[in-house]
Amino acid sequence: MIEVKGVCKSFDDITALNNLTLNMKEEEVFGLVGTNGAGKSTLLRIMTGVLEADKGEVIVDGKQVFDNPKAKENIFLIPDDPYYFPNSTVSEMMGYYSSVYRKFDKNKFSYLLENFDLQGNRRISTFSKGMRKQLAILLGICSNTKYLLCDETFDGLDPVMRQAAKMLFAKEMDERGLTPILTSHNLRELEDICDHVGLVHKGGVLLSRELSDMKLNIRKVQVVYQNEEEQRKAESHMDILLHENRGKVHTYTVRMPEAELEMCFEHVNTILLETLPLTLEEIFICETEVVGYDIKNII
Amino acid sequence: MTSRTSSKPKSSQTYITRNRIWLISLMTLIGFLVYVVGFLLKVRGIKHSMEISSPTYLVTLQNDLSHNIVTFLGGNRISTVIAVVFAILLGLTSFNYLYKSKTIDFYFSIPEKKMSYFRDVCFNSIMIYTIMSVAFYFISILFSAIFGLEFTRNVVVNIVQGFVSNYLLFLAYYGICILAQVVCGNTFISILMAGFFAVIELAIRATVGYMSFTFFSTYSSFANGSIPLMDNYVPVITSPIYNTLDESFGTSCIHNLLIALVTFVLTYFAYKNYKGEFAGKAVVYKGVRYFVKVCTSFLAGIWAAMLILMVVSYDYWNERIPYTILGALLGTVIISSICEIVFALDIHAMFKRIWQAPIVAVACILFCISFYSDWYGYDSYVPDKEDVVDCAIAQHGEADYQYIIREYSGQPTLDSSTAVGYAAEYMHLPYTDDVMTFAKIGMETACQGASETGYSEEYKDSYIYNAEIIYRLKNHHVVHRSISIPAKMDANVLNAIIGSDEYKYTSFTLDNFDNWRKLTGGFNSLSFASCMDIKMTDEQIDEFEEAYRKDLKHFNYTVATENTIYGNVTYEKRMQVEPGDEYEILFSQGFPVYESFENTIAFLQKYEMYDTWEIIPPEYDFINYVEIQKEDETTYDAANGYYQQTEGTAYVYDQETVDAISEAVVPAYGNGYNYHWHNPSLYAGYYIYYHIYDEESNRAFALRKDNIPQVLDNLEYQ
Repeated sequence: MIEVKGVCKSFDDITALNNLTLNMKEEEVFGLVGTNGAGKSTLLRIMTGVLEADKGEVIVDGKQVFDNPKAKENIFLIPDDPYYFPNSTVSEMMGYYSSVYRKFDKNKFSYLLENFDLQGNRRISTFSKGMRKQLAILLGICSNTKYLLCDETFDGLDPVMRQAAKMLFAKEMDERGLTPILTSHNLRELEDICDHVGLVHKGGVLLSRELSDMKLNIRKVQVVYQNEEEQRKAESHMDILLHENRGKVHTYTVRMPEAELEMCFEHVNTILLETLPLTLEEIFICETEVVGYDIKNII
Repeated sequence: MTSRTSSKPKSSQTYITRNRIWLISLMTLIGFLVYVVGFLLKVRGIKHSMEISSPTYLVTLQNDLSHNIVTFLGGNRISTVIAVVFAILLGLTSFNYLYKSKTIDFYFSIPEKKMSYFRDVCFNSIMIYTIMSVAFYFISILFSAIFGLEFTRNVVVNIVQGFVSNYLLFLAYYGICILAQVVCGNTFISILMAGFFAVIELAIRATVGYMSFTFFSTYSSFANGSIPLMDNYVPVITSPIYNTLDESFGTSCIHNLLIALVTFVLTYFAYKNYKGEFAGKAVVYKGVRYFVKVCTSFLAGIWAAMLILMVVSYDYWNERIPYTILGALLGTVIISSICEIVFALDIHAMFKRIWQAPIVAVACILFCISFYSDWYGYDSYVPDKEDVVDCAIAQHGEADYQYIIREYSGQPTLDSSTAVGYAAEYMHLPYTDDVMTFAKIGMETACQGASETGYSEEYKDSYIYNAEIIYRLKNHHVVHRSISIPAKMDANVLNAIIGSDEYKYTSFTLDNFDNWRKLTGGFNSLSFASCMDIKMTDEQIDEFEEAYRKDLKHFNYTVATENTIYGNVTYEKRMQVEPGDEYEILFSQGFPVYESFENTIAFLQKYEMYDTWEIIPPEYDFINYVEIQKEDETTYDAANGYYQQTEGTAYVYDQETVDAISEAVVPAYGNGYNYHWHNPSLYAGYYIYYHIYDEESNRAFALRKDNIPQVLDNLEYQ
């Protein structure tokens, strides 16, 4: 488990992190969301020991991470713009990583290279940005670390590669208990892979919750009423978080169990009644309104 | 897919070396061009030159080859430059990864101790230099051996010393460069910082030296390497090349090793505290920023003040202060602003912390005033007797001898010494009351000469000798002062000093005369005035030396100032490899002959060297006319002993006048000569030229002030 306890970090006059506390459980995909400048990358770098917190601490499996090789052996950072040795080939970088990460699996790496259509003897300087990110993901996975921290890694990957990467993560989680921690400013990017989501804003945590918990009591329903009387009848029994209407079509986001929602419409005459799937963004909007933030302005 | 235990991983050195392949290639290219191509071309040139011209005593194949290898491999030579270049190249690229977030993310996130990578990089740099220098030294030695160089003890010692000296020089500069790297977050700024570290101490020393030179009347430029205010030699700390060039082998090695150790330790701690967020900044540590800003703005303030004074006027104390204030403020404000711009990498930061500039300006002003008013007592310093071991005194100018240097390069080289340098090395005068009086008057007169009011009434019309006094103190300091000795001061004091055996036998470099002429081979040659060189035996030279020493026995200040000088005996030790070959001068020394030097004159007469045309005026029958140039007495500069304007020239044809003039003339050699305390004001403002039939050049003579023939008053000068 990664425990972030009261971490503060400033750069000159700018406060990047302000008493931030988070826990990241093992074998869960943790998504860290926030706008540009929210502090996501800073937090990731503190978690990997690149930066040292001004206050607070980051504990990885019970060990302080800063300048601690033992703790860092379990963490691999994939930055948004990965670095490779000048003029190096894929094989040379693999050689380097295998020398610093003792559990690096060269066979797996060769296998994955082939599947991702990357050549081992090709110079990385000839790769596109997307290919460089792909390579970083493969190196990270094959390093066999317990935690894989990905800083906006999926941005810049094509949809096919994105899907392939997600499948890889899932496979690694299943086989050896990998714990990916992903940051993004794109909620849609994370919603089909994350188990737990944390929203960071202005150096602090606005929200940190299991995705399933968030989806449990929130519903989205689309209704067309026969008349206004029926509308009033239905609305009086619903716990409405959000209401939009376009002409006669009303779309409600409500916080109530499914059974209760069905009962609301039992005696209401409707022309159309349909339950719609919720996006992560919609969940966030609802949840953050509670704490007084207009999430549309944040994301 | 199961994981397999990796085969033994390559060491970090492999990857560090691989990442430096471009740098290593560049260094190899430089080394190849210098040590292989350059070296071979030079050696080939030597062989070729030996093939087409005969060797001489000084120029032989062995000598030239050994000189060549020492030129390349010895300390203070080409290899020294290469060592510095390699140190800068390796040093300023060692920690470039600290300057970008991307590379910081990479290196700081991998599971390695932060400091282990630091050690790996330093070790890699040192290893690269070691391998390259050993390889290039080996190649040069091999080439020399192939071309026939004998590895004498001298050559081997030079090579070994050169290797060690350059290695430590490399370490010292490497340490300075990596320190610059880890206190900065930007490549360009780190280069500036390395330059700052390398020159700041020299800049401070130069500033103190300049201020001392300009404002201390008794400042001596002969006190090589000392800081005037400390009056002692203090090794330069942050410029290792200066130590290497200026100090002995052992001392420079110790100093450079210390520099290397200190810089490595400082770099270690700076790297340890280097934070990931420093990447991209200019200077990352506040303390370093303050240090750089204070030093640069302080020096800028002083130099701005000096520049303004140079343009306006140094002369008057009252005027100096306003210009000093102006210059100090301008310099500090401008440089402080520039520093802030550089630190923030933003021009809008120019007024940040601008309040610090006036504070530094005040320090500049006080510093300048301390020199204007001599707060240090520099110009009045005369040590107490109990503090002094002994001393030396010398007039400014060249020493009378030139000698061979053999010990360093393996090839004999002719070199000369200043009189002060010679005295500093060989003269040990007891520090008597007379010397103290001499020093006090000398200091006071020097100060008067530099003051607005000039020399005192007592010495206003006196010739002034420029001299140096060197105190060797019991605390091992060696103090130099440039002093001005008025010819009119108490002759008893001057006689006691100048007439002492220790002074005169050292001043006339007689003590070394035997050492050099008996050590070398070759033959002796003596000449006097226009007399041709005469080959002499060792016994004849012994005879000359005995005669000269006898004459010196009676030499003192009174003799020096009251006797004209007839000319200079020049001794040379010459060498010919084969008869008929051109000879080379191995050693030479000059001996001025005063009119009272009876024994020396007798020796010259014995060997028919005396009756030259410089000594005896020609007979009337040979004279076409006599030209008399008269100087304007009103323009006589007593202190410097010369006339600033000529009144006119007269021409004499009649025998009576010519004979009267010939009766009075003295050799012109001493006119204007002030060495060995000879007094130019002995001579009148007349230059006498005898124009001889059938000769293109004339023969020059002088007149003494106390013996001007009356006939000259009747001439018309136009």
